[in-house]
Amino acid sequence: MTTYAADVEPGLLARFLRGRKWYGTEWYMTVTGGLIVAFIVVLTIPTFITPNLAPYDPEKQSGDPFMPPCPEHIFGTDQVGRDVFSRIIYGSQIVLQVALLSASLSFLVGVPMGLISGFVGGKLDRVLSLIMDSIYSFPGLILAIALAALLGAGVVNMSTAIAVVYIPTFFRLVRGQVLSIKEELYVEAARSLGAKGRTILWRYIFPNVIPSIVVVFSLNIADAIITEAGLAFIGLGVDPSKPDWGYDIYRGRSELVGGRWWLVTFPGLAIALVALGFSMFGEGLSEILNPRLTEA
Amino acid sequence: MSSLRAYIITRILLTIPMVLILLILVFILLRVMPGDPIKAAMRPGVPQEYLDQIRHAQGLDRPLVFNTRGSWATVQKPVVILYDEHDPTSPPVMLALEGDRLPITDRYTEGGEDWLRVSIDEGVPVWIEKEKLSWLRRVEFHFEPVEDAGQPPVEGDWEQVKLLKGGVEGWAPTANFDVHVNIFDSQFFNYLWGLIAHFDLGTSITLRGRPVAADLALKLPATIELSIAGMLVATVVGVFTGAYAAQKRRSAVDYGLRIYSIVAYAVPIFWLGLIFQLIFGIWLGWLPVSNRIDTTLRPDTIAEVFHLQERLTGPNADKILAVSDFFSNFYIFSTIITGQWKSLGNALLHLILPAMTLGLYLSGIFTRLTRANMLDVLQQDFIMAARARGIPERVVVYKHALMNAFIPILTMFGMQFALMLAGAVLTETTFNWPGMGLFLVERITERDFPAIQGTVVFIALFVATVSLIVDIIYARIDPRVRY
Repeated sequence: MTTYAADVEPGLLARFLRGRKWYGTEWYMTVTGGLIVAFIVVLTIPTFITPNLAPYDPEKQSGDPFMPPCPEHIFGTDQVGRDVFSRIIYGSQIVLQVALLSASLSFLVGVPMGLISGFVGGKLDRVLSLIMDSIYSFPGLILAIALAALLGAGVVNMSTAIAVVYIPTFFRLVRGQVLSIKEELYVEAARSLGAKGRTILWRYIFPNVIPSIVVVFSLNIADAIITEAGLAFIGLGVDPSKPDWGYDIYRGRSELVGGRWWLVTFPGLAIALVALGFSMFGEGLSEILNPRLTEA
Repeated sequence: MSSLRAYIITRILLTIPMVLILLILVFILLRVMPGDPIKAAMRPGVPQEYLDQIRHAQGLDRPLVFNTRGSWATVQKPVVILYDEHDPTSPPVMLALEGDRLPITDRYTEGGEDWLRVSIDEGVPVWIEKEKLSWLRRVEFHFEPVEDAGQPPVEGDWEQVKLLKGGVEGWAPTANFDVHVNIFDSQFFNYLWGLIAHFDLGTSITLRGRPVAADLALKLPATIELSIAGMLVATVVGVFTGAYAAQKRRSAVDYGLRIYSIVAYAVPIFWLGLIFQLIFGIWLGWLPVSNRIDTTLRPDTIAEVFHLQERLTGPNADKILAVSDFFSNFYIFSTIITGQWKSLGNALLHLILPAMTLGLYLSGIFTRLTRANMLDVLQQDFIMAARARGIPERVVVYKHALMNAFIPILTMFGMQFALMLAGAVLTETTFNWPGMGLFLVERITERDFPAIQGTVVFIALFVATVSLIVDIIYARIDPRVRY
């Protein structure tokens, strides 16, 4: 069977491969980002199962307070003598939980709303767009701070606060894509063949939106990680008793004056690394999937 | 009508529903939150009388959207006894006299009964039951006895006093009152109307009823000063790296700058600030790491330096003084016009680290936006024409192309305003910079919800106004932008 590559709409894989040829750097970026993400995820999953993964118990004293980095405690110890390295390993739990949950929540609310709003159009679309644009125009972090302060601590509350901020991102992306895909010839063909609205939306439009959603999802996780850390840094942490990178920086901050740099430096590097991984993965993917969009 | 004017009017009309939606969202959010916002802000064990009075002063005793139960009541009988509960056997609290016009704070209509709870506000002479009075004295209500009060109008132990701070509430059957219903005397419409009519952003609970607007007016200059400085750093770094990346498109430098823009965004801004503090403040000891200025060098206000207090007389003197005080809080501006050079130097030193932090955080996005815009411009015909005429590449890129890319770049900076404010909140927290962001964070730690609401509402209005202005400027410069 012979197919002419030029005649068919390139699939996901084909676009990947084509992207590789044209934009080698994007490919490296995606892989590097993906490797960082995979590394963190692979490291985090076992921490939920076993408490013995780190050299010391992250929640118990294991040395003198304020020990600088040394062979026994490679990242030093904190105010009450807990091992900073172990806390970083176990601190990924909260960050990843909140990031994944909040991105999934925004996805679950924003994508269906965007699909319906763009497809149905009319008054509903105008009202929804207005609401979403209002939220979108507002400084995200400040909205998240206000919401988190209202809802109180906890993984679910924190994730909800962050999710609300990013719903408009999904909504606007999906709605915009639906609006343009809706006008495509094959959608019109399906409609003239008598396909129901629901079928068109689900079978013909939704699959074409997926690639962009993947990109936004990945970038969204990176944003959520930074936002969670920011909330924890101003004292709106998930749970003060659990190790949490942002919250550990918040506590280590007052020790900076004494030159105890390790309490702040290492958790911050961890946040930056994870956020960087998801950002690079998302960015690279975005340029592979829509080279025209980013290359102007 | 010119099309520019039509554009501006449409743009303003579009801003109104967007702001309104945000205001409604903020209102709903603060009402659906679990728990009592007033109790949350107070220490446990605060007497109920206090809580009631704060609730009354905050307007939280009104119904949410429509007030059908009545908003004030005029006493119809010569004397009405107000009780502690909606129950004639509960202890009496105070007396209301004929003609008193009292705000209604609650209404009880169940089982054929109809009771009103009314408040007698501070400053009004009121007969209070002795036992209640001694309780009020114990919980430190401030009042002064009324001299030559005469005899109480009914039997019992009554004493006439004037409350100095906060009022007292009591229940009486509705039949004793003439109830005035103002359907818009509700939390929602009071909030909207207060905002529109006299820019009322509510009052803080933990700062003893200080208006939020007054506090924000004090903090806003600090935030604006930081934002402008941060924007300056971001522009210088972002525009030049972006233009350079576009010039060396798809080279190692371009790729490196791409990575830089992602890293700048991925690094938490507060952590960057702390690392700067560590290096430049603590290890090297070059720069201050906290606050806007040394307390000893706090500059005199503009009014003090020019003796405006004595010079200005006339009807508008107070307003001019208030405006001059507002501008005095822009330390760099005010120290320059008043010539307090030592303070200026100190303020600039304090500004360096926060501005670098905010600026570097934003520069990643600016690099990317500039690069994209430059690539757009570099593909246009006039660039090719310029190259064809043999103009050096450097001149083509940095003069012809960059100048033309500048307008879209500037508007995009305007669009990043919201992001910058968010960054400013964290930068202010990191550097104890006494601006709006630090104020918001402080209010949050004290769980002062009315103040949080006021601050968030102000930020929403601020962002909407700035984006409106940016869009109008853009439309004025670029005639293609029209609806």
